[in-house]
Amino acid sequence: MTEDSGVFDPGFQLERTALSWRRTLLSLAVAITAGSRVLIEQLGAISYAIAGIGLIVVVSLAAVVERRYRAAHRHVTQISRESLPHDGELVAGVAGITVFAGLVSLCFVVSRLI
Amino acid sequence: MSDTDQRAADDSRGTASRFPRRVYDVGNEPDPRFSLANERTFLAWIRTSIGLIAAGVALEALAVPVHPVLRLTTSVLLILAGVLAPVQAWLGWAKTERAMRLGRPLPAPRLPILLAVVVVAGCLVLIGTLLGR
Repeated sequence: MTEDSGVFDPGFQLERTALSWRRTLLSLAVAITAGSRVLIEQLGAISYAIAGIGLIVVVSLAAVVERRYRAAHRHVTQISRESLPHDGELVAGVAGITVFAGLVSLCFVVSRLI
Repeated sequence: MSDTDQRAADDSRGTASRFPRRVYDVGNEPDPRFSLANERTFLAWIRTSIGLIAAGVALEALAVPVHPVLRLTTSVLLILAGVLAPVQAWLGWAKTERAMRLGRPLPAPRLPILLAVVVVAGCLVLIGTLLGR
């Protein structure tokens, strides 16, 4: 048994952030799936391809998030000396995907006028 | 080398290739808990954006029985707000992270007010149309 058995992360910051990422990626996956279903009438089989690519991207992001969480956990618990794996790449990526989804949605809505 | 020095050296090596340089090239590494909180705020904005876009698409896709012009206007307003939200989320995240690294006061949110106005306007249009039928 170790001497220091106190809580290493009193606010559960890592856990809460990891859960927040999971909620967000789950929302994205649901939105992509529902969106491709809506687009079937206009795009046909292409909408399946969009859904497939979108879901692959979301699953890849989920894998990256999971790896970050584990690395951050190792950092906080001082098992490893690697620096906290936080930067803006993942953040920018998710923002970009959401903007793209918004623009596709805008095209869909406007195209119904034509 | 003490534990703190070792950690600082690791941190400085870690910032060398971190994106965006505009944020990570300045200041010192803040308390990781603050960075994590900043990230969660960003994610909350992304979920808000997804909700706005979904609402906008649903209005048109489900052909809600509302006057077509008002329905389209509301739909476009909601989706535009949904497109602006991630941009605001990214800019806000970067500004906040930079301010924390420099030990400056956190920037005040600006675009949320605009987004709130857009969303309220969209909702009012929709409610007014439903009541007026």
